[in-house]
Amino acid sequence: MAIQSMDQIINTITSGNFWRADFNKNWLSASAQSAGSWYYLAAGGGSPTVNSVLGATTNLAQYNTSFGTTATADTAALGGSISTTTFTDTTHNSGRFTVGMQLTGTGVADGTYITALGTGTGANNGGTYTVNISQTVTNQTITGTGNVNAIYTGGTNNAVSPATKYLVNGSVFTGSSSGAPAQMLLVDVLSQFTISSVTTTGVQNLTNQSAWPRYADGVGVRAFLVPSVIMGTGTSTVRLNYTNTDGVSGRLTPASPALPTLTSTAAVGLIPHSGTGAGKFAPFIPLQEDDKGIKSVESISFSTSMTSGCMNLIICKPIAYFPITSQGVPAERDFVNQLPSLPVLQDGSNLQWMMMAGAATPTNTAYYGNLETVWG
Amino acid sequence: MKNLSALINAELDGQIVTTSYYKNPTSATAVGNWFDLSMSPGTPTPNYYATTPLTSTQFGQNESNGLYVGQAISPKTRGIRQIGMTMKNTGSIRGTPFILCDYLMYYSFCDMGFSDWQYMNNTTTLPRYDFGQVMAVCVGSPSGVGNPRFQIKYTNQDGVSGRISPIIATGTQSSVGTILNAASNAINSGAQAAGPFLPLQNGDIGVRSIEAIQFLDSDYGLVSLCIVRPICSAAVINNNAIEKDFLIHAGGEIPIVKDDAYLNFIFFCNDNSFSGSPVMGYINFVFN
Repeated sequence: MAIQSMDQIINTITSGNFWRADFNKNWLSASAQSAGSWYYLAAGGGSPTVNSVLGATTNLAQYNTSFGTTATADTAALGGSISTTTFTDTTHNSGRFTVGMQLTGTGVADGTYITALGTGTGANNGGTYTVNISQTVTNQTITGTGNVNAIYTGGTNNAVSPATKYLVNGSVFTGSSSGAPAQMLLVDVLSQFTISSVTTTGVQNLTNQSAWPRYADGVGVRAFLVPSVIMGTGTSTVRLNYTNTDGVSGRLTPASPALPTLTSTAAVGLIPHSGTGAGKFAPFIPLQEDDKGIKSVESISFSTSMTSGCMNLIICKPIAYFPITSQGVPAERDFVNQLPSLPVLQDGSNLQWMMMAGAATPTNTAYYGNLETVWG
Repeated sequence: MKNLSALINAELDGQIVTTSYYKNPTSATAVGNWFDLSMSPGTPTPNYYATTPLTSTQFGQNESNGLYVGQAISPKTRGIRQIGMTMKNTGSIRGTPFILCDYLMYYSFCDMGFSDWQYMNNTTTLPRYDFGQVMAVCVGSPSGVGNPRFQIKYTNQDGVSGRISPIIATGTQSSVGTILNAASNAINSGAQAAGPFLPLQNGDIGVRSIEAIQFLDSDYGLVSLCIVRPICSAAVINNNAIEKDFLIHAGGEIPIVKDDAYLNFIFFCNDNSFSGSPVMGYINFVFN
């Protein structure tokens, strides 16, 4: 039975149906943030570590994500090697290699993972990647396994059914003087579409559509873009063709006041339709009038080639906002006594952070905090 | 949306639009003045009040690149569910009030050096609402020496023309973006500043259009007269963040925002210049 009283909350806590998740997420080491722009912290390390499923899946194909979702990539037979800390994908086979992927293969040291992209962009023959352990591995089939690495909030793979899980309170803060102010947004990431075909203009049909793993009716579901490989030059607009919560297809991102404009050479983790200037909408891509959410996405269209890089269309359900005020001061939310009251976290929730930078947040800036959940 | 249940159900039903904003004042703001953030860089893009002088020009989200409030939803109603706001200032900020306004129409480049009545060319009417309030925004900094005075002729909320405002004194420090009628140190020959909106003739509650402006004391500088509809207020205290939840703070009554509204903030500078102190956050609109 759903929790409907303070007594029930107290009873669930005392009975042990309670979890406190402490986390820290780091902004990336590659580039500082720009004030006024939104960012996806899943691309950064910390605890949980980097979401290495981001950008790892088949071009334009829907890939549903839940807590514990994995994705794999591999070289062709005898197509991979490691020399000191450089992994070379001499002949690529399938999937896309991403930062954070664990590598396995004959002779590959336990615990080897990709720490950075070299010349590799995920699936290019001859691409190189930096790994964490110096070693020598000659001509093997090397497999990479990525994990969404979401925040764990209780239950097997974040599932507690038939009970219902609620977020009861949370806090976020930063120890960096340039990490504040900021607006943090907790989202449940439902699905992703890796888009490596960023030089293609016009309509690109998306494939492998299925119901979202949670919020299948699309109510409250939103979309945003984020690169997993730094983008090339080219200032493009974007337009989605989607089906709304009433099952009406052919819904389009509105062209008025403007189509969302993507920042040229967008860094990994930047939400490229955010920031200052005309044609910027954040944190999510606007919906057509009266629409309450996205039930499915049929196609995406870029107006201009972005020359290189890899973009990802992320489908998510916003959960809660946390405004960070100052260095070292936690932004705390009491979801029992404040509104919205007791946000529900569905089974398998893939909780990740988005943030709006209020300053030129330096590289490797960490955001800490905790979430507390109960279920009953 | 007339009760908490309707509001919450609308939100749970996904009838919500989230937008974020980031405005960074570049002009030095003087203590005791109200300031128009629409002219500051950031998102939404700056409003320069650039149009044909003395000619009415409408504001709209679509026409003027305003803060995104969502697509037109009429006959449904859109309201503000929450405002989140943070500020960063190297000095101290004590109780900075903000007012979110729907900017309706403006008349630009009124010359402060011209002592006769300057008559407006009213080619358009208010795009939303029957009437609004008036701000005199500095778009070309005057000297302010001696606190120059001015008054306006206008048509009131009932459509009665020829109404004349009290005489208003402007402040002595007026950077671009300052709301000239709203300086706390402005006193001259019995005239005082009043802000953030111009006081009106006795019995009037609002303005439909502006007919003319007269500067009683010559100065250099340019002024834009802007008719706005105040929507809601918020306050930031001590470099802090606020999250105003209208369901809690307003007893379930939420401010309504019309289709194509052009939203921006004005704020009262209580302590230290806000130049280089960005204001950022988000607004959640719920519709039903």
